[in-house]
Amino acid sequence: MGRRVLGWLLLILWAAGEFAISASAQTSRPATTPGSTRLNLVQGVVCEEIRDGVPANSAVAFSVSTAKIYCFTTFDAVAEDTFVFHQWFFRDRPSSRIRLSVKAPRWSTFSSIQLREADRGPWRVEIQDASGRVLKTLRFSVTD
Amino acid sequence: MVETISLLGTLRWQDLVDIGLNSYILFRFYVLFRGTYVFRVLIGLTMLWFFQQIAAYLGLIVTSWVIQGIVAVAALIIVVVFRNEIRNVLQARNLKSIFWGVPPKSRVAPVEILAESVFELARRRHGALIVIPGEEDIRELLQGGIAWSGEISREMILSIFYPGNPVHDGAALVEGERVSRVSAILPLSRREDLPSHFGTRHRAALGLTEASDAVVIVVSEERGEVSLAQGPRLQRIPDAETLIARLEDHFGVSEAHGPEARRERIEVTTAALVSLLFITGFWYSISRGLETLVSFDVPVEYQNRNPGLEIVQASVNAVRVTLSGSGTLVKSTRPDQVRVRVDLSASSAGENTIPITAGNVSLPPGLKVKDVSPQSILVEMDLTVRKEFPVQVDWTGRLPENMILAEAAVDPPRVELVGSRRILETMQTIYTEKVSLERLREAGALEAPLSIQPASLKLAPGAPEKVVIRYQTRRRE
Repeated sequence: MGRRVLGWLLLILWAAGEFAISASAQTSRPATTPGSTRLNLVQGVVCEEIRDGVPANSAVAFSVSTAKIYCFTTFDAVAEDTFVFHQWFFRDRPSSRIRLSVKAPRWSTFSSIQLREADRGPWRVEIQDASGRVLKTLRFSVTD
Repeated sequence: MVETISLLGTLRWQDLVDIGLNSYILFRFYVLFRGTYVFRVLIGLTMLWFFQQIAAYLGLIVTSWVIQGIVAVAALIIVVVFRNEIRNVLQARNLKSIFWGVPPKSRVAPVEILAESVFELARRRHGALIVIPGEEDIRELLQGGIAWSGEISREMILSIFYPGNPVHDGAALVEGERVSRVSAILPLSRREDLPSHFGTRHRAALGLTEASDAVVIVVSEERGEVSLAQGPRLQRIPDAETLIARLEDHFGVSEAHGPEARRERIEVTTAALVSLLFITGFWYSISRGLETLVSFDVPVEYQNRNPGLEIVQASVNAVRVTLSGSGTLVKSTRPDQVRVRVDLSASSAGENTIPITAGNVSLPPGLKVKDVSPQSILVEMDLTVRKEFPVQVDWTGRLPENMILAEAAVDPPRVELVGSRRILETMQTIYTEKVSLERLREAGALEAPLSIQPASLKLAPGAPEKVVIRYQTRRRE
């Protein structure tokens, strides 16, 4: 009789353990789909140059004589390899959309544009995740 | 004949009032100024104007130009030179007589002033003797005296007969509107039947009137009485009105009777008819003269727009309106007198085709719409909505080479706009007006107005027109 009860008890414990493992697997599954978790953007700046992997002279106004400017972004706690977009706008008109890889666990990446005389005016860069969700908007001007 | 009848059929009631009113004004001018020099000069000017029109019609450029110049200058001269005559005509009559009635022809002498002065002399008991000649020449009957050329005024007459004045003892001769001689000696009457209280002054008055058709006003120094000698009679005059009536009678300007009255009535009626004909002709030459066409580009004005709808765009902003009318009216029409109004009360969101007809065009009277182009306009309307936008600074200029603008924050960061749904859907950012980097110090705050484009967009109630920018500069690394 005692052996039978023990047997049932072990069976119940096994079933409960299996259920718990199954539930845990289900809750963590969405993290494996690219773009479904919000990327942790720890830094996003527009700068004049990148020295040794670090942005230099980040600003909100750039002279057109700078020739080239960069949008530098750093992501932390990246669960798995994914990608982001740097969408550049000039006066609300899309200028270029650049796809950049982001790798776990921490990753920095950047895009750049070449400045021309006709580019004077207000600009913005939208940093979007893989699904197109805007993580941050950086606003700046290109001046004389 | 048929043309005349058809022309009469097109007359509006306003045209009849127009002609009637101006004819009456012209007629009143005649009535007020007839018999004066002003009227003759006005006739002369009218003739000049008439010749100028003929010269212009014949293409005589210089002649037309010269006459036009003379008429323009003469109109000024008439006001300056005849200011006294004009003032007399207007002052001598009350308001009613300016607009109504036919007063007698302009008086030869200002009898009202004479009468008023004479009774003032009587009140002061200053003796006076005033001779007013009739048709006959009385120079032979007057002796001595001092030549005087003074326009009649109350003050002058009072001063002539002021007892301290060396010329007060004698008669003053009134010719026309002037006192031409003072201190004149009149022949004395030799009649025996005159009352004993009549003094030398009365005898002198009768002496002249018995020998001529002149009248003489006598002011008695002792009794302060006014008498009028005319022919063999010397009558006491009780008041100024009686004296005025008697003097007017003497000058032949009082209420006329008989053939004279008939002649007067004919003259006035003829003047009224001539005024009517002249103004009718003038009116026709202006309003129904040679038809002329003119075109204006007129901006379209929209009215009665539903407040919940916004005009997004219209196929045209102005329409070309071609007008017809007499050359004179067309030449005097300014573009701002022509307006095109479009009623949007029946329009809805989306595209609305609205016809433009003559009914949409408002014009000065006398002109007609010949053509409107285009004959319809396409007005695109949209619902009015509110939407919030981020504000971005539109920097311009340049910082010193070793400086960079590290940060700039805008307060408030977002602003709400009201406007067409379609426009607001395509907008993503509100920019400030250009802000110069040269204005910046190391760090600080400044205000910048918002640049809201297109103009049909408005700030939502309560939204600020300016934003505050807090900035921080840094040395370049």
